[in-house]
Amino acid sequence: MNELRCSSEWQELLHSTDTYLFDCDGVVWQSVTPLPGAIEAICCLQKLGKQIYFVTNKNTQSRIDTFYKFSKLGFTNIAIENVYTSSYATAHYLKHVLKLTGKVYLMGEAGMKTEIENAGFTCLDIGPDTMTGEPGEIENIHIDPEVQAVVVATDYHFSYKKLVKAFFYLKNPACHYIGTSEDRVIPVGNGTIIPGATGSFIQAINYSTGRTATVIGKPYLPFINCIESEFPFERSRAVMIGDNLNSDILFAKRAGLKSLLILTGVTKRAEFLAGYKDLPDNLIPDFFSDSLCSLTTQ
Amino acid sequence: MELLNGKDWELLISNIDNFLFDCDGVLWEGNTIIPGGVEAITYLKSRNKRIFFVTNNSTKSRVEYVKKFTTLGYPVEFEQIICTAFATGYYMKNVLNFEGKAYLMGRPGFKQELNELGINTSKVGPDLTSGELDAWSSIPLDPDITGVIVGFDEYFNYKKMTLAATYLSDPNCKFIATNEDNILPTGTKVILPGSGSLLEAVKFVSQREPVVIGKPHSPIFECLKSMANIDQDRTVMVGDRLGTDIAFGNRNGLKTVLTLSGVTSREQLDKELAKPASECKPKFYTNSLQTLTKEM
Repeated sequence: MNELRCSSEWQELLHSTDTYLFDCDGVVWQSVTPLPGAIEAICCLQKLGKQIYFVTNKNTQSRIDTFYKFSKLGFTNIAIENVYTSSYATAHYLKHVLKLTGKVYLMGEAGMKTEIENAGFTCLDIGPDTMTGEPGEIENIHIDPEVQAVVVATDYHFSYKKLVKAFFYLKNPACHYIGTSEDRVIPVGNGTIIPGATGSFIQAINYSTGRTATVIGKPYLPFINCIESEFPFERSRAVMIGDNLNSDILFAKRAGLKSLLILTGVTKRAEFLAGYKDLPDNLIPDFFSDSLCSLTTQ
Repeated sequence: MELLNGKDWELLISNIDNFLFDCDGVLWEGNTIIPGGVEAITYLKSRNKRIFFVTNNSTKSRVEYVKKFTTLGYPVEFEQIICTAFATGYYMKNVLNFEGKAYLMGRPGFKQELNELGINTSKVGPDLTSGELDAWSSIPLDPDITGVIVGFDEYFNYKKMTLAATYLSDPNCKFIATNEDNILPTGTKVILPGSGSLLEAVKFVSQREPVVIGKPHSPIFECLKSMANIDQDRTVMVGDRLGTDIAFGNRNGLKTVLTLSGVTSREQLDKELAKPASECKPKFYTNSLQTLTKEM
């Protein structure tokens, strides 16, 4: 494992790598603020003619809304084709891998619904859905026979009632069960971590149904397959740059990419250096750096 | 060994002083009586056997259970009910010496049982999500919370889960769960996800392990023993679930009877019996409690 502290230490990686996959939260921005060095680093790589993709598990926004964030925050020369969200990758999977023909029962936010509809599918209603306490409520739950897939994404209105509906749909083994990601926490605002995310809903549904979700986002491989199917690239000449060992670094190892851990997000330098020797091999990055500033630091 | 009729049961009855019955799937399904249950309990009473009802269902207080038993025609005394609402309160009071306030995810009956045992809890019921994610970083936390309890809560939602996990990020905050049942039969053909699935969500987010009160774990057995001095050699657990009722019986050195009137099918039983080693194998099994009072 090598530390990258300044641009000269980046040279070997730059010479052997054509494709750069960046996580977003904790790497290029924190909430709505670009992280120091991020805009400059992207510019530098673009000038070197490198291929750049942003690969985020965030699924509450559509691909296009995430793309707009880049220009709002001051990143330049980013095209929508450079931006991959797990919302987009999930819809892509339903269309191109499952070749789904029916409707989708989605637990997710508006951005996820947009991606599924853009892919040509009908999504049942999203938003609040809670128990009312009326007699016969459970027996009167309407199950749409055209639903062919249950998709579990980040849903701020997740409820026991939605768990019941997913449970009912998934009794049919022909109904697909897809999760956007297994992220345990959502980074928010001033660096506070809010616990609660898709991963926990998937655990609840797995446990009650006895079924296992097919998960699209990092560290699972459908995400890399999605990018590759649209823009083929040489995996051995690609690097995943992220802040989360269990999603970004593991993703890189599983996909055969190089891996660079950035310490401006969920993984802190002191803890990481104290503990990395006890980590399994597939969580130890090839490179690490305090921040993207190092690329442009003399 | 299969119990087909009263004669088969007689060997058990003459060697057993204490009968522990699970409720859902044994005595009733939802609000519908399972045939044979009332006759079996009445007969055992006439034989001066001690009877306790040991249930993982956290939705009712003991008082509410007495009402349910009475409505369905089962003769029962308050002291015979060992439900997880009671066992949780017992554990928190007598084992944890719990002080402070618990963030409770459960039904009103559960809250009532805890409060009556002297355990202070948050309110229960709906807690509707509102606002964008950024507002959530300033969710008001109750500074008095010193524990989190996960029971069956049909108002479980993202916000409650977030609060639970946030409270649990303090390692001194106690984490208690009533049970791990993955499904909950309702009495109609409908089966629902059980509180075990809600617990999985909270465990995943908090990365903590709870103390689990209900079968097959020991806290509920300790609670039972506090109510009556029971000789484990002369006690039988009768239930419909291998992983909770039967495992509970086996772990505590009790005899076990599996009834096929609930969640376990004959196929599932056969599969379990075929395993070389398992704590979920019952000593006896029967179609339902109807066999207890059945002539040969």
